[in-house]
Amino acid sequence: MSLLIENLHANVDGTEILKGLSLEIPKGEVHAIMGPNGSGKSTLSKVLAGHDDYEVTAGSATMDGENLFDLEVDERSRAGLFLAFQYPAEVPGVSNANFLRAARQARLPKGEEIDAVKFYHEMYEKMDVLEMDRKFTARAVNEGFSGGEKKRNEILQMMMLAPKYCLLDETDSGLDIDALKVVAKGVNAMRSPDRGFLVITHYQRLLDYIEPDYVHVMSDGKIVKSGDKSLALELEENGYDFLKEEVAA
Amino acid sequence: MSYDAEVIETDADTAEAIDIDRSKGDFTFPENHKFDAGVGLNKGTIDYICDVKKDADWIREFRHRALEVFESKPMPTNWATHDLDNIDFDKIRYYLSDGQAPKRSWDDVPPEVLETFERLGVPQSERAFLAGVEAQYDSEAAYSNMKEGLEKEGVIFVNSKEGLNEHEEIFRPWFGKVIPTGDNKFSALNSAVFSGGSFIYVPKGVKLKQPLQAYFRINSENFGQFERTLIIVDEDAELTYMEGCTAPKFETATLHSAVVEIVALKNAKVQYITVQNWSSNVFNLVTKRGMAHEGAEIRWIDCNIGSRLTMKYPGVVMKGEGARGEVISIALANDGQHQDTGAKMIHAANNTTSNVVSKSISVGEGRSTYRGQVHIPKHLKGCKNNTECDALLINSKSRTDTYPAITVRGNDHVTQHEASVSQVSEEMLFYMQQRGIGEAEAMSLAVNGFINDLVREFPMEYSVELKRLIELEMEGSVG
Amino acid sequence: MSAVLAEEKAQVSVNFPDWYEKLRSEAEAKYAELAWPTRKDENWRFGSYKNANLAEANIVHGGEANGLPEPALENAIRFVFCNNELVATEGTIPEGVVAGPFADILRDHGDCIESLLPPLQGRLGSPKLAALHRAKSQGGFAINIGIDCQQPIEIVHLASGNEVTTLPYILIVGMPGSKGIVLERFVSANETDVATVVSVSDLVAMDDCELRYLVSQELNEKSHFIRLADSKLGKNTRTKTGSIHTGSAWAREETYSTVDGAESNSEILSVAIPDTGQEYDQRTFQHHGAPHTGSDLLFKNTLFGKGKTVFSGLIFVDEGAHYTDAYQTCRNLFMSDEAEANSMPGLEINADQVKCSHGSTSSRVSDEEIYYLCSRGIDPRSARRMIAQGFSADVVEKFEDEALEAFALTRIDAKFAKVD
Repeated sequence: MSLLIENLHANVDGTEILKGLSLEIPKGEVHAIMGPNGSGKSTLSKVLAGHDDYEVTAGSATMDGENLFDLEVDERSRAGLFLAFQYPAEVPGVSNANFLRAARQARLPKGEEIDAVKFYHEMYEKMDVLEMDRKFTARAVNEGFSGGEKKRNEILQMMMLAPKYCLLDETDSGLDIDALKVVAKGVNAMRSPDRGFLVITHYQRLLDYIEPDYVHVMSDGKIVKSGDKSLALELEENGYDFLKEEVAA
Repeated sequence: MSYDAEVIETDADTAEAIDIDRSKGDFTFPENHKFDAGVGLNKGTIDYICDVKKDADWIREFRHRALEVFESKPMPTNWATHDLDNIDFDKIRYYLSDGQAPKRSWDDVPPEVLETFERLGVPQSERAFLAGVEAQYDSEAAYSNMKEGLEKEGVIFVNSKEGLNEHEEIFRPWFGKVIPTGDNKFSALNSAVFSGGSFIYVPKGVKLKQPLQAYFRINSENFGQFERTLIIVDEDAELTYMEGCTAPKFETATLHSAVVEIVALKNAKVQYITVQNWSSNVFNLVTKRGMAHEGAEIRWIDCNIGSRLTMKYPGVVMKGEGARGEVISIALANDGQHQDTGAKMIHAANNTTSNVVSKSISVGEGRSTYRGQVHIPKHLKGCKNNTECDALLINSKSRTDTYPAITVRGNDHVTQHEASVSQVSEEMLFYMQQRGIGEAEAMSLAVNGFINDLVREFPMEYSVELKRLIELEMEGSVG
Repeated sequence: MSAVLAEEKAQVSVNFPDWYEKLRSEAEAKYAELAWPTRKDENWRFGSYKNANLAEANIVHGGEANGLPEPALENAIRFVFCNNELVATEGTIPEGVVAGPFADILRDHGDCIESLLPPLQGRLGSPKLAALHRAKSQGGFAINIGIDCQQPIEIVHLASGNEVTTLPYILIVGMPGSKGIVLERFVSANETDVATVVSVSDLVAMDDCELRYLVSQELNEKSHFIRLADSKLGKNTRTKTGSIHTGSAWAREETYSTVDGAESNSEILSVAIPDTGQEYDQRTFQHHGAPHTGSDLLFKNTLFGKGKTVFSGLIFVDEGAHYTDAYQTCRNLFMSDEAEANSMPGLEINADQVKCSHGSTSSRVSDEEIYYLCSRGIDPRSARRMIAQGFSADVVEKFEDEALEAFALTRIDAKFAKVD
């Protein structure tokens, strides 16, 4: 049982960004991908989630054996794939509560109605973990949110939708240290043997709070190096330059 | 993903799906009209209507004069759409009725008419939350009733015939005063052949807690419905009035051309709510205007879904100091529909305030247009206008236009107009879909979000209905 | 500075190439066929349509200049026309720039002009005037910029004589990759003569250009001014076009901007300061014909006395012109209780993924602002004037050209000195 990516190639506007990437994230593990800007980290998450701008030209991605590329964006989500966006979109006029309700409702069999009381109870419980104000439920999704609020909201949605595999795209960007700790608390609360995580980040800082089992380095559309947590520290110390030499060598 | 044109190419099935919400009103009953003015319009038609309705001589004169004005006025196609030229006035039937007086009890309403309104849910909502209902079937009211007690307080809620014949002293002084016959070609047409509609008088200080409501139903092909509404709300009184409109789908175009006049006397408050859901071959050309006296407030809350062409620009003449006028408007234009709506705000006294908020959604090949007029003449002080119009485009074949006109004389006023055009962005849709929400639902969430702040202005029962209508419209609009 | 008067007056009748003569006779026929504007004409709503009826006009070519106005820009290449006839030039035209009387340019570069000349104007209400102009105008000015031309080009049109109508023309062509600055002024020879100036301008900005073009209308307060201005942008091109209206009794300006090339942006600016007896009527059209184009319009009117303005603008986005960013703003600042402002900001959007908005406001200088300046020791009258000047200056700054900005500010200051 894993999220399995094999020899993945993908284009944007005719330019190849992913050039044969392979990676396996078994349930119960946290994997981190690090890499310099432009290495294709964010592309990977968008391709897995099914964004229209990206064209898969070769390779495969399966989730517990199911081919992701056979599914529409919303079907992937309902099958258990969650992407915490680096830049979450705003949805004017639609409240957070209604949005989450619609997302939860979409997961129920036809004809079955969501239990509103239970839903709110659960949502408030999770908001407490993330130290979110109750007023937040009535605000429109991400509209006028600060960077920190947006990221917390992503984690709240993740907690409410209980996915099997979570992709966290630069979740630490734009967060101060206190917000980072809160977000990490939410993620850590969700770690379980039934769930896999892929944490995409540019900085090692996030990994102090969300401790990964494995660290991969991505460069030019491929994984060029894998290791344990210490690899992240090494990168923090030496930067990405030494990688280039290694790749070139 | 996305809402690319090719995805939404409307085949027959989709077109049918888009029209789905009209199915509730899409049924007809055999015509059984005792009085039928026949096809076409001339002096004889007017006399026929007058004879059937036993109109007083002054009304007969009024109608004949109006016919002359109607015939002399050109179509307003110098600024409006040329689709108007497709109305064939010689093929329209101007008066149809079974000759019965409106019933006070649903039990007395003829079975097929009752069934019509039952299918539209009218009797139930009357029991549920209305103070009174008038239900018009083609030319005349089939049912008219008001809750007990209101009559004792002096509230009058009748059709135009009763209003003019039995309460002439109340209604005649204001009849045709807010909207003169010659205001436009269609107000002249209505003045010539009007029948049905609501005449309402709310006496001084009486504040109606529940709304009065009228339903307008066109049941016969080629028929033109020309109801006439006059609402007078006396000093310190308050009224909310709602109207709902439906018609089944016919082979040929149908015309609905109403005139609605409101008089709000000193410190009165009137709220006029319309939810229109015509089938997509109705020409809906309506003139609505209110006159607000000192300290009075008139609000038009208007939701236009359906019809082939709607032209409607509710207006408020702020005649007394401190009067307020407001137009809140939602329009949704789907394939083959043109919603040409807007507002007219005429400031005619000091310290008057007007507010216009218009939101339109163009889906498929639908077209929505906003036309506005704000007029602040010389030597007034302290007038304010705020206008906001926002348009949402759902795909690349839809179209939206905005044509406001603002005239301000003098320096003691503040006017502000803002308009924007936007669309449901691909990023927004992707985000919602990534949370597991299907494309059609994501689209309808986005559209409901767009109009959310305006929907709150509608009474609960209507806002739920509105949300449902929009969901149905959006279901048909994505691939 | 010395102005060199042309040695000989140009011939009253000019010889145009055959193809152009054909256009002129077509225009003549069109003129005969079209009707003058009426009250029912939507393009003349709120406007003084009768002023556009020039059936009885006494069209002249050439006249007495009676001296030349002071140069507006230092270091400019300067052309002075009196009633559309060249009377003086100053400065040396750099290599890569072709400039001179339209008839001369037509004679020497006819083929090039034939391929570039935009269709007849007048789409915003004055097709008959556009036809009249082409049929009867005998001259004008043309400039073709093929380089990055740092030196500004200044054109002055003097209107001279009483009860006369003149028909100046200007064609500005920016060749691919070029840059240029053009200032065009309309000035009366004296304060008393009643003239009608009907000016037509065509601006063609080809790919990768950057052009700035400012018009200053400073006619005497008895004259009428009509200007039909058309601009067309290629790919990756920036234009800033604008006008400053301080003179004339009545001015009508129809500005039609077409952005047909991707990544191009057309900025349209205007400052108008009408006083009692002055009416400015401006109609604009921002036409987007290709995806990924932009336009930004900012018009500011400051109204004194019984001054009147009409603004009617339309952003028009063609089917398929996705990713258009178009903005339109008209602001009216009332300096008197008797002024009148009419605004008709419009949008017609036929494409998707567009960002379009328009805004229109009318207000006076707020008491708070005046109070703030007074609290710093400025008297209320000066405070009001400073705020109003700042209101106009804000537009001028968008030209991002020091010389043009400085000239525009002197025009604004001169007007304020006159009305206050």
